[in-house]
Parts: sequence; structure tokens; C-alpha cells
Amino acid sequence: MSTIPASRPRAPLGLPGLPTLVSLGCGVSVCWLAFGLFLLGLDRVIHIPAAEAACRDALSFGFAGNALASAAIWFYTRRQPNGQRPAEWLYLTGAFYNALLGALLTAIFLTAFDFLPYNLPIVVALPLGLGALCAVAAASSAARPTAAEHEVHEQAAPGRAEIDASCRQVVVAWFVSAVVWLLFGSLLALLASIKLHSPYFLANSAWLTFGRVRPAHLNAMTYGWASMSGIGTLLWLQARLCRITLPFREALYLVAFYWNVALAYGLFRILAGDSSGVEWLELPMYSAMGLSLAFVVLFLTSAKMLLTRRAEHLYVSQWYLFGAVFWFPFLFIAANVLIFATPVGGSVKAVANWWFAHNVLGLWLTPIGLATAYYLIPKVLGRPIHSYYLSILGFWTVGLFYNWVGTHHLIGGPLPAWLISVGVVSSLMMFIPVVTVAVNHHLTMVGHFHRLRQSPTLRFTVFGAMSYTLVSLQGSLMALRTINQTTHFTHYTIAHAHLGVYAFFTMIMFGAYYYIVPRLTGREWWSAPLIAVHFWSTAIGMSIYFVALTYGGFMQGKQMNDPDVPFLRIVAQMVPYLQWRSVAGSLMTVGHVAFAFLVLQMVRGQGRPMPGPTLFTGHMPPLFAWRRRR
Amino acid sequence: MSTYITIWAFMLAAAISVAWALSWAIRRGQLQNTRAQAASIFDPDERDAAPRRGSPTLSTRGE
Repeated sequence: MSTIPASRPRAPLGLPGLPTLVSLGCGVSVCWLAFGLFLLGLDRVIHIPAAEAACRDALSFGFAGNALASAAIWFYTRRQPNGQRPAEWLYLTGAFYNALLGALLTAIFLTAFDFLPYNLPIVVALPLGLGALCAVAAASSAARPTAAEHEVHEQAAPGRAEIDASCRQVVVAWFVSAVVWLLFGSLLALLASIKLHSPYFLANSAWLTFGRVRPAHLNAMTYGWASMSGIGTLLWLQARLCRITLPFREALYLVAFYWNVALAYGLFRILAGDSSGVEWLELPMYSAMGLSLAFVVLFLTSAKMLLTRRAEHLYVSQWYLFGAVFWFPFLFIAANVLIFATPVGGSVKAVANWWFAHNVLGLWLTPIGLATAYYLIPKVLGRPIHSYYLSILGFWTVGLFYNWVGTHHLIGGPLPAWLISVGVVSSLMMFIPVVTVAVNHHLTMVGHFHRLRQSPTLRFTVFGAMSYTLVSLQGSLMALRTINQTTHFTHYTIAHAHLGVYAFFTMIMFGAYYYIVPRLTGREWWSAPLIAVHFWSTAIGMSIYFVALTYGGFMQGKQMNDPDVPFLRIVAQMVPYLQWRSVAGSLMTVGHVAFAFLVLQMVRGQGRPMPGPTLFTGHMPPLFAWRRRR
Repeated sequence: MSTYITIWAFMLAAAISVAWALSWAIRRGQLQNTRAQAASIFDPDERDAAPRRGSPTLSTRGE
């Protein structure tokens, strides 16, 4: 295996150490406070229209943001000797953040007075893009190894234990946050599900109405659980595959904190009734901007790891992971620009919306999920994937076709036929990457399916990989006009979405937790039977969910296309299926609680000190041992 | 008009990036010798398991 050695030490930029940075952050924070109060006075005295919004942003993002970041930096590095730690990256982030905020406030004023024809987020996107380019260029020039350094042997690379140690705090922060959002999202999901068949349940509180709880659930799961667990896995996998220690650890730790604050505030605003109303983009603009910034930091981290990697070859998982961190910030920022900043008109807005919404799964969660499966299945089995060529073909065809499929959600809408056809054709072309992945995973597993009885990681991951095949083939068929006219606007689509985000992605993430967390904490899982409870409750729950809503949704669609069937009768006939949905959701929640408890035990250091991995059959407790004796 | 400029700017940036990534991969030989590259995730102490396709041998830490 050819390797690239460590980069040469970065040249110091002549910047002062961390204490100065904290002082500077506090000073900037006070400046934003003064500016915010000035704007508040301006609003009260001469009633400038934009002053109130600008004041709110100056106080929340300028004052509170800088103060919190400074406090976090001080808390995290208070025991470090003065000036011993290079702080270039933190300086860069701070300067970038405040420049962005300044541009945002300027844009608010210019937009309010019609001085700005090109509208707000273009001004925001400009420094964002420039800043990203500058940072990539700086990281690249500082980190590029010399030709002589290429000849150093691979033993110079850090070992697995050292890499895992470098990831420990950051990845655990992302993982634990994700589990908290999983529990919160599950609670919201149960509320929303119960309300569908018992509409008077908690109906007196405006905060808990279906129209608020459902988008809050979706965003908590997408940006909380799925994205945060995916990012934690992504960082660990990239570090392992690049064979380097995790860079920018302080910044990533702060970004996790920042992500949680932005998301919590966004969900609070959704529950308070301040949703944007655009599906999958319900988070208010100021919260979405915060997440955009975090995505840029993740992109830079990933770019830095690729540029300084010690393994010459890029494994297929790295292609998928870098694709995800490149594609999704692009999608997220572009969708926010097209829908909120320079809003496109009429039905084109729906195109932008579904282009983004479908790609959240296709170009964000899918690459991370597949990258994880392509790493975990060979690692657990101890054998390489069946065909590396097929895996690479799968990656490039995903990149080529998945971007276009979103418009099949708008079949029957007021759009040009060619635009819908592009979505339909691309959906069918997705057969290529799906079949390559399915064949590859299956042939890698052939002869080793008995390992599913033992390995928690393998069981969850293979369940997820099989679900990927199922959901993708189902999605391609749903894009056909003849099938879509039955399944559209029914619970069939909800079952399909959960098959993708839950049965595929979430199950693979569970598998990733069972593989990664012991390597980060140095301990094994607290209880194998509890892992079995987690698996069976989520697998059975998801199966019930899928079967009930798929069948119910299909019947719903058939009846809705029949003008002789009264609509209220269809609604009444759906109630049993919706009740099964709540039962399935309760089962999944039981599994989530078991999982959260296991993660909590590991984080608390209560895991078991064992030389080998936790296996289902290897640690049967006395309660179940009678079965073995018989 | 500004919307179209925005859309085309985004699409152009994405297309150039993808084309560059693919050409880089071809130039650097990332798409060659795929059999050996499939085993690149295994460390030297896991090597005994890696190259033999079909071998049920386990890695040292792998489950």
C-alpha cells in the first residue's frame, strides 16, 4: 500500500495565542451588543423599518454568538499553556463568522431600502464562498507534502488507536447530540402519529398541533439525528481511511455545539408557529444560515483530511463521504437562495423545493450510509468487498443520476412535461447504482450470513443495506406515472420515506455506533440482550410501519381515484392503518430508549472491559441461559 | 434574470467540480488496480484476511 507521510509543520501565521483570541471574542461581542442597542434606539426613535430585524440579529448572533464561542474556547482550553496552541483556524472561523454577520446586516438594510437589487443571500453567499475558497487554499498550501516526504514508509502513519483517540471527544459530542435528537424526534413522531387517528389528543395547545409537531419531527430527525450521527460517522471514517488524526478538533467541537443551538432555536420557532412552510426546509432562515456555516466547516475539514491523507488510494467510502460534504452544502445553500433569498416564482419554487428535498436523502444521507456500509461489512467480515469496480461505478452513477430525480414528486403538477420526464428517466436510471450496490453487498456476504446471528454491527448494517435496495427500487417504480397516480398524496409515500431514512440510513447508523463507540471509549457494550431488544423492536416496528402504510396507502390511492367513493369514507377506512402506525412507532421508540441507555452507559464509562467485540451469542445472561442448556 | 444567473452559476460550479474530480481520479490511477484497492481498508496486522477473496478469516478486532 503506498502512503503519503505527514504534512510538514504549518508555518506560523504570527497570530497571538488562545487567551488573546478569547479576549478578542469578548471585545467583538461587546461591540455587537453596543451596535444592537444602538439599532434598538434607532428603531424606537426614528422607526427605521429594518432596524428591529438587524437589532435582533446583532444581539443574538453577534453578541450571544461571540460570547458563547469565546466562553466555549476558554472552557475547553483553559488548562493549556499560554500561546502553546496554534489558533489560526479559530481566528479564521471567528473572522469569517463576523464578516458574514456584517454582510447579513448590511444586506438587511440595503434590501429594506431597495438599494440591493440582487437581494440578501447573494451577499451572504459571496463571502461564504470566498471564505471557503481562501480557507481551502490556505489549508492546501500549508499541508501539501514535499516530493521527498512521499518516500517515508507507512509506519510513520498513526495507528488505529491513535486515530480513534484523536476522534474521541469530537465524535462522541456529535453522537451523543444525535441520540438526544433521536429521542426528541421520536416523541414528536409519536405525538404526530397519534393525532392522525385521535385528532383530539392534546388538541388544546397550539404548540402541539399536527401542523407544528410534524415538521418539528421531520427537522429534528433530519438535521438532528440523521445529520449529526452521519457527521460523527463521517469524521471518524475519514480519519480512519485517510490514516491521519482528526484535524480542527476544537472547531468541530464548537460546530457541534453551534449546530445544536441553531437547530434547537429553529425547532423552537417551528413549534412556536414560525415555520417557513416549505417541506424539508421548515427551519427559519436565521437557523438555516447557521447550519450553512457549519456545513462549510465540515467541507473544509473533509478537504483538509483528503489533502493531508497518508493513504494514496481513495477507498470508495471516501468518494461517497467527500461527495456528501461537497453536494449537500451546495444543495442546502442553493435551495435557501432559490426559495427564500431570491425566491423563484410560482411552480418553479416547487421544483427547487423537491430538487432539494429528494436530494437530502439522495446526496446527503445515502452517500454517508453507503460509505459506512462499504466500510463496515468488509471490516466485520474480514474480507474485501466482492467487486471494487462495481462500487466505483455505483458512486459515479449515483452522482450522475440522483441529482435529477426530485421532479417525479411533481407528476401531475403545472410543469413542462419534459421536466417531469427528466425526473422519471433519472429515477429509472437509478437502477444501475442500486443494482451494483445490492449485488456487491450480497456477494460480499455470501457464505457469511451466519455471522448475522452474532454481530450487532453486521446485523444492523445488512438490514440497512437490504433496505437500501428495496427503497431505491420502490422509489424508481413510484416515479412511473401509472404507479404515481395511485400512490401520490397517500400514506404509501410516507412508508417509502421512512423505509429510506429509517430502515436504510438509521439502521446503518445504529450499526456504525455499535462499531465505532467501543473504539472511542475503549470499552465494550454494557448489555448484548439490550442490543437485541434494540434491534428487534426497531426492525419489527419498521416492518409493521412499512407493511401497514404501504398496503393502506395503496388502497387509499385506489379509492381516491374512484369518484364514486366519498372522501370521508376513505378517511375512516385509513384509521386502523394509522393505529398500526402508532403501534409501530411505539416499538421503535422502545428500541431508541434502549439504544440511548446503552450509549449513555458507554459515555459514562460503564461499558465492559473486554478484549473482543460484544456478540449476541457470546454473552447470554443467566435469564436466557436455560435455552442453551436444553 | 438574476434567478437564471444564480441557477446557472450553481450548475456550472457543480459540473466543473465533478468533471475535475473525475479527471483527477483517472490521472492519479484511482480507478486502476481495483482488486488491491478493495483491500486498502485493512491495516498490516489485518492483512492476512484481506487479499484472499472468499476467506472467512477474521480481522483482529473485527467482529
